[in-house]
Amino acid sequence: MKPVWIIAKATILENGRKHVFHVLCLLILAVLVGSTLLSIFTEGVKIKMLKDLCMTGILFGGAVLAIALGSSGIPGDVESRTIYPIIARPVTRMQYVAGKYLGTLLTVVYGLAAMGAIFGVLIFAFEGGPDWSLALVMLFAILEVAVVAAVATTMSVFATPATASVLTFMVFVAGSIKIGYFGEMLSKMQGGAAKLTMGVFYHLVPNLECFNIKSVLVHQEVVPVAYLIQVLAYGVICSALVLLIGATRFSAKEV
Amino acid sequence: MIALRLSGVTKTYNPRTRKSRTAVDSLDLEVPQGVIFGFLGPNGAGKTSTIKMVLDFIKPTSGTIEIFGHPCNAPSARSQIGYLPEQPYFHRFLTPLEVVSMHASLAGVGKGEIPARAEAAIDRAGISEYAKIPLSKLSKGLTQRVGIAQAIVGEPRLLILDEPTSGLDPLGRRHTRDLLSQLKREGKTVFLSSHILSEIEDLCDVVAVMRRGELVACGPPDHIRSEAPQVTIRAQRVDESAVESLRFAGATLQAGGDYYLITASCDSVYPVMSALERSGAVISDINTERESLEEAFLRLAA
Amino acid sequence: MAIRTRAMWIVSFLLLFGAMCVMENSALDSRPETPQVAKTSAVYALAGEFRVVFANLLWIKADKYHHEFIHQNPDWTQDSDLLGMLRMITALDPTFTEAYASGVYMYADGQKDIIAAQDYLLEGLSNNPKSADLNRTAAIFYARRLEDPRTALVYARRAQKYTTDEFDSQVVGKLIRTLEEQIAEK
Repeated sequence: MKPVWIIAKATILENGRKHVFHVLCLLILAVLVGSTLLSIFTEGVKIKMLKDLCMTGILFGGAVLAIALGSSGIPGDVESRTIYPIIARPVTRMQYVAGKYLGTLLTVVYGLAAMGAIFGVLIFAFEGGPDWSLALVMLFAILEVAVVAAVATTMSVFATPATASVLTFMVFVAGSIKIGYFGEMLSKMQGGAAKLTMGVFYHLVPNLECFNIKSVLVHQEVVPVAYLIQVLAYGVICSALVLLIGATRFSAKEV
Repeated sequence: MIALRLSGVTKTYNPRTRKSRTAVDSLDLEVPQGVIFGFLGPNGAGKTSTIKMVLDFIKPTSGTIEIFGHPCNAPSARSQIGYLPEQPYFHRFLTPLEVVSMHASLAGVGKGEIPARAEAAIDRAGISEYAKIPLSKLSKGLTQRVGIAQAIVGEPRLLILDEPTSGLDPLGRRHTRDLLSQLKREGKTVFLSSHILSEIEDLCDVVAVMRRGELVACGPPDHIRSEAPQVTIRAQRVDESAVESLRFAGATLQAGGDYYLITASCDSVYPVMSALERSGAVISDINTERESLEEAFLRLAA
Repeated sequence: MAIRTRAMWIVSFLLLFGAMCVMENSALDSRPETPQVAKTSAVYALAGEFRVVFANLLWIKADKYHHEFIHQNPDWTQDSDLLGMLRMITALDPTFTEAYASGVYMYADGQKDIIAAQDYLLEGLSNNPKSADLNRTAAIFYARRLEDPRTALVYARRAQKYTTDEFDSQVVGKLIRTLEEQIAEK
């Protein structure tokens, strides 16, 4: 684990200096601040819209950040040749990929944590008190970002950074509408090759929609604990599986 | 003991396609422990591919590579290597101390020992005064020295250095040569790839020459150079009859105004001298020359 | 890679994939019911999370048009142009209870179309069964428009159960007492 953590630390320091990180954090901040300018509405609507818009901004911004950083990490190291002295060490390729992923994820988590803290302050200011459900919603937002970062890291092993970004974004979009759109489509299909193909595609695409428990924050809905635990387990297994695919491929790749 | 052994190593890029190219062809090489081993070859000879295979950056198409008896891809082998790439690149925002400390940690140095080992490695590389300056502010030569420091920080038994003096000024090159000699005295094995043949000639105990993926020569530098030294005689008043005799004796003549430069092997120097004496020639200079490593390299690699 | 090692890797991948599918299906089974997006257009479904953002932005526009209208005509229920926007808002975000409530009044008072108002109200309630606001609107609608105090009482009790505001609870409480008296008189 020690090489993983060392590589992760270097990756965090590297990502924290990238323009894309600062620009996206500023954009998310702009959405948060902009959402407070809804003073023309009644209190109930204003707070609901504030929470809706801010959470959407944080979720989408976090995903874009994970895609941007995750798809450029490993190819960037290969192109800049900073990878050679590292993999010449007793560091396995799997440890290297795990370290790059962990570094990317933690960078995004730092960004989201900062945005979440600002969001929490805004909610405190508007509602006159804290809303602790924000912590739970942010946790699952981070879990969603973890899956997206794993997909981006794995895609970057197979493709160039630009292609990996596009493919990961497509997976993000597909995963965000998996239940509502693809699930409905699958349930209406007649049996046969088409349904089988759709079924395989359905299960291959990560289910990102299940991590969105924004309704807990916006509509004060109660989400069953069993659901939360299962989604947590699903997120961890999904991230691990996707990352394992990328790490296995990278182990065999010639650098 | 053999520090590095390559047995029947072949590397073919894009096999089974039209663009198939064999970069290394059935290479057998043994690097004894405790020597400085020079690895030479023209561009495209297969040196970089060989080094990449040793470091497990790429897989050989066939053959085996062992480092101190362990397969090259085993952690037990990799933990004994220190590698300096050609034109090393590190994260620009890090300082030399941070880079070397990071690599010490990756090499398995204990947490408590890292600061002392990193500082010692930086000191040996001769860049102590730049230890805390970000790499973005350092020159190419200083970055090269950082690369040397990170290669030695783990106290590896085998150092693989690709163009270690590239970008260094003469003082830096001298410092590096002294460092390599010192490392050899400490019992380390140095596998050195360089285009600066004078350095190879001075430093290396064993030299291997590659050409188009094949090993064409391997041995001490003296064995690589052509065996027989040559004698060059500068003589004046050499008449035409003497010229024929000299050529018959196996010498080559080069006219230069009022003198001849006569080159002969040591075996034929006596008949040549006799011919010159008989003709009444005046000898103004005699030199014994051996083929330099560069000349040997050009001969072998051409 | 040796065949045995490769086989082990493949088996590991398949096991992990299987575990992932099982966990996903299990989570979906215990997932709380979410309002279904109108199936009229795949574009709405494909908009994903942005549906909610669009709905909010449309509400901002609707509010602007509403204020422009009431400058000229204080009876905001006559603003039939807004109905289309409200429908779009609820199609994009079925949890937008304010849009449902406004739409019900517009249909009932402005358009005099009780059936359309009832349909819209029931759609809103099916997507938001625990909305205190919509349940109270339903109680008033059934009591005033359909003169059905018994059904109105059911909704009023639900509104009181789900409301979190003390004042709203007292108001609904008064409504409940009124409805009970009406039922007793009948």
